[in-house]
Amino acid sequence: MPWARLATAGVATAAMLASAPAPALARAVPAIRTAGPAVLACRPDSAARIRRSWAGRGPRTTATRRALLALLATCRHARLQAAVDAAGPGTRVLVAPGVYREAVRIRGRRRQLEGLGRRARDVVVRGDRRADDVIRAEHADGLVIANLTAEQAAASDVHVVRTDGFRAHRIVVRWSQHDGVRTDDADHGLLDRVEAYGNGAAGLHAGPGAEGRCSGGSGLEVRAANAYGNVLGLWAAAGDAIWVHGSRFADNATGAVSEPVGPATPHGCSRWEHDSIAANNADLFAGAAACRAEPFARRRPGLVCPRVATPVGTGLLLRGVNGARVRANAIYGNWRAGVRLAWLPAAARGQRAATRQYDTSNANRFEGNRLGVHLDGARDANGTDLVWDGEGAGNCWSANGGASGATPTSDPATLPSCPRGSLFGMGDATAQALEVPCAAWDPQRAPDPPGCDWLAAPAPPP
Amino acid sequence: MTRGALVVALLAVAVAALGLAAAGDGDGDARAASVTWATPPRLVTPSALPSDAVLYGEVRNDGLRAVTLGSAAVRVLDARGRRLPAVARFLQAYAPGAAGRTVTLAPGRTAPLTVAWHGPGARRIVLGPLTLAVPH
Repeated sequence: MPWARLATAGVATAAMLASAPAPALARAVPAIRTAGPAVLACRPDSAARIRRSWAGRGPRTTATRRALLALLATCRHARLQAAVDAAGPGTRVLVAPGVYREAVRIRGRRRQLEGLGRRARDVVVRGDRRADDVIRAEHADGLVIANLTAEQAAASDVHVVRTDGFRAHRIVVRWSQHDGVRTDDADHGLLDRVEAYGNGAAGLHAGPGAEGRCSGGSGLEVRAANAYGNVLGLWAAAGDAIWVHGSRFADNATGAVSEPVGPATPHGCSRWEHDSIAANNADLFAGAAACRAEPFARRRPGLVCPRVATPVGTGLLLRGVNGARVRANAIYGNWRAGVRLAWLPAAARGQRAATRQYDTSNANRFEGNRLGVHLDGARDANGTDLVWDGEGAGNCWSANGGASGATPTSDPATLPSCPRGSLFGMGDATAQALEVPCAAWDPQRAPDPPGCDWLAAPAPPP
Repeated sequence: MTRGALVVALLAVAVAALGLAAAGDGDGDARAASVTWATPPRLVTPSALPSDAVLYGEVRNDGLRAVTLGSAAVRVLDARGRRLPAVARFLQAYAPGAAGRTVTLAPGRTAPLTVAWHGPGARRIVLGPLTLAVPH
């Protein structure tokens, strides 16, 4: 797909977002502070970078340049970690343009790490490809990370752990071995305008921890994300309370996956609205031989080596999810499937009781999505628009539109309509069994397990 | 008898004894724990992988004592006893992580088993001392 068209999709998605209703979410997400005490970090070339970024004689450009250069004169910390350590609660850490080759640890309440560049790419925090996380925030309630780039982590570029209330705003995360941004045991979070690309697992990985109520008010919100060139654009293990909207997931191996983990039965509440999920056919598994030749630390940056198996060519995959709402999204050009709902046995969550095995894939609703049509109106077919393995009760599909206003293609050919949805079924045993071999995938020991047909994109649909 | 011939003869006796011992253990295990297909398994070929096969069904412990089975020990053999590249999980649907790698079956209990392999001519699935037939 041409990049220009993808860019158009992003703009159109943002326009859709503007008209989208805005449920009350993120009650405890911290605001970005623009005043108050601050500590500055800078690099030897920060002044030169500021002059380059704000070159020109216009009054605003000149004023900004002078203000930043004056601020730079107060800089006492060449290491970002030193500035973080010097900052107390409520203190902003301002980061002057430059490349910071270090891993940063943030602990404590109300920390704010904020790049001073014109663009997020002007401030780069670069891992050495050996440190697990480039920016790791733990027990950091009220955290804000804004306007910077983190890259080349051995695990996650930005990892938010055991934190209640956080915001990532306008950041770039790229080229990590696993995830761009990852949250674990973190709640009341907002990932806003995150650009994620070239990551070996997920661009954005929402781990368990967002426990919000279905009525809103808490959980994890992903807004206006742009994830491309990852194995998974977004991986939501926090199936209970994630709201993904106005975002773009394109040119990944799989656009987005929701796959709850943990022993509890997912309550439901995930929302997918006004997203653009397009052309997720990236054949990243084809180059895995080069990945096995060298460890991550010695590979060239930008080489994407899959760390997780996924059915290449899938737009949105909901596996073992309850109560999801997939509404008003544009889903097109995914050569395997546009949206897929599949069973995840409770055994996968460590639950062995026979009575619990079918406790997921229930009460999911898919309404008002546009499938197989590019945002500019051109036909751009999915392999199959809507796929369901038949497991679960109360799943329904209504008012979804296909190309030229036609009914979307689906497997099975007829899907239960809303609001009543499906009666309980155990699903298509053959379709379910055909995916089992992919569970044996391993990047080193089993990169191409027999019977697993996920790892290459299907041919484009006619 | 030369000294070399004596060594060879002793080695042969030792190997034979070990073989008998191993066979005896296996027979004992087989008597104590006999795993069979609880229902006829289904054999399917993924449309995108015509050289591969996926066999799925439910296995039951018809033996007298509990048995623990590990997917890593599963072997798929052709008619000449050659091993085919194969993977197995005690699952009936995809699950990530460690799920389905091992299962412990009490007598009379069942578990799902899915085995996939690459190449033609599969005849037997070997799970440690136990053997399951591949239907055709």
